[in-house]
Amino acid sequence: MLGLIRAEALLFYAEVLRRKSILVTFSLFPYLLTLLILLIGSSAGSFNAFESKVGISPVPFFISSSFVLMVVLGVSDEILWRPIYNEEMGTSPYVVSSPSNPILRSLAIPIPRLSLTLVLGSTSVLPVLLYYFGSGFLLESISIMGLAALSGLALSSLAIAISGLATLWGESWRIIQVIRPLLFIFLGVFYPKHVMPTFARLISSLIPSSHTIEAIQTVLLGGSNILVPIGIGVALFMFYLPIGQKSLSIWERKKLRSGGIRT
Amino acid sequence: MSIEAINLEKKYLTKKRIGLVSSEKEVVEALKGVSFEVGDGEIVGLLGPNGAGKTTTVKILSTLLIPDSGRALVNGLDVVKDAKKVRKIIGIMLTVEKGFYGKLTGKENLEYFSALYGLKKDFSRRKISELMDLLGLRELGAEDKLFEEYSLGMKARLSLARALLKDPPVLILDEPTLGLDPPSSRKIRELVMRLAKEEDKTVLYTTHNMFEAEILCDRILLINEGEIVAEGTPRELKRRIPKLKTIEIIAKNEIRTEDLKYEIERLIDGRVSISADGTIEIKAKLKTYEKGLSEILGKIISLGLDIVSVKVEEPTLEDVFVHFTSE
Repeated sequence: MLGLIRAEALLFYAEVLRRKSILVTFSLFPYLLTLLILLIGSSAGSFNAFESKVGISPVPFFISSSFVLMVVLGVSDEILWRPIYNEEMGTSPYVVSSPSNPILRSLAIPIPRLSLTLVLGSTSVLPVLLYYFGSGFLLESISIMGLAALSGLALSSLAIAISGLATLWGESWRIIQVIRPLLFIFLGVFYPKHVMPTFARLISSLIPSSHTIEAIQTVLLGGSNILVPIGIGVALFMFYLPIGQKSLSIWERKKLRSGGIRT
Repeated sequence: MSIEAINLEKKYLTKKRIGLVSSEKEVVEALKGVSFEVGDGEIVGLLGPNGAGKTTTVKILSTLLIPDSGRALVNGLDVVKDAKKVRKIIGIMLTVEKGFYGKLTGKENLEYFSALYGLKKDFSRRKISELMDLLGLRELGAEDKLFEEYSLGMKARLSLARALLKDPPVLILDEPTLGLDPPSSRKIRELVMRLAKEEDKTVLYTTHNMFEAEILCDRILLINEGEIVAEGTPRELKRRIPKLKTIEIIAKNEIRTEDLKYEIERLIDGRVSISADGTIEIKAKLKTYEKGLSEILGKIISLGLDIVSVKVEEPTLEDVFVHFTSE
């Protein structure tokens, strides 16, 4: 597994460091998204109204939420798009015919990205939270960044399960495109789970990261009861692991039968 | 036997478009009972026209395609049931221009695949350095160059380097010199030859290049429309086609050059031309080498001509290919 993570780190950092625009986009993403939400929000209400309803100023809330969203979507993107990317690059047959374990291979994919997002958190979450809550909030800010990384990791097994099944369809990228906005809604990152309608809350509860995000919101609001949601998130991650493994094996079997691995 | 294919069959389901929205399912029989063997240290060429079933065969042996029926074994291991073990002992090269990550250098790409192959860090570092030298990539300055900046020749060399990373006893190379310039093609051929002869590696090699197949392969399998239609050494295959050999004779008779032209043409089934210096060039077809040659030469001598040179042209592997695949 360490070897696979090392390989993925090589690939990810080469892409990011040799394409500087990606690095700039990552750094700016939380600020731009926060700005967009605040602009839309202020047309319908005020900062004070938000604060009295949610219990926290919208700026630290949305900066943290945008950062978490970037981390989680980053993980799902890396996993869901990789089979398509490999087909584009022509690396697919060499990856599939390698003797490495497919589930470990997929789990290793997002880990290097998480290490970078933690660093990027220090350009968004950390300065904004410290500005709003003072240096006493340093530990909480770091734990929010750590929980964001955990949220990303927690989603990986579900993303693997979806990726295996989605890429069975001819134009899988269309399905993958739909998953992004769905995650946007059901993660509960901007629209907390407790205010969702029942059916949406049910769907949201099935996403491992929605629980760790709940833990992040608890920390932001000054609460401390985070172990239960973290536990549920980790348990759901474990629950989806064998499903992910099965999904990858169905995908491989089907591709190997139909001749779908393009050379 | 290093590679054994036993009665391999494979059908593909394709869609035939009818108008804008409708389509019809069509079954394409890619392999119709392909069987062959490749011995240890042997280089066997798999030749055939486009769509003959070469890539399907290669994909099955590379564990990238499951046959509908039949079996394929690599070093005694079944490519379907023991796919994971087979993957450890084969090196594959399926395309030349793609197959690597553009933003990684050649060396980094090899490091990436070493990790995927589960190779130990020290071993892979040593091996990559060795392969960079062996394939002349270091010499070309390609080691630390991004793959997206590689020439086709460099890409082919890197692809072969990846196939050799695991030091596998069996190599499956699908058109490894396609589109390459002569120096790069020669480098690849020399290396493949060396690997088979010195390191006893078994090589299954597909190509459209007849010259390459002839000089490189110990044996050739000709595949057409999903079936092996001929098999043997290049020499054996050439003997099997009924193509007439051509004889080219240059003769001289300084006195009666013009008259002789018509007399020769009357005697043999061929073409006679006279060059400016008075030499007579005769091109004729031979039915059988031994009998036909002495017969024609006898007739020419009887006309009082001095024979300067005789050249017999053998059928080429291309003639063999066309003969077996265009029926």
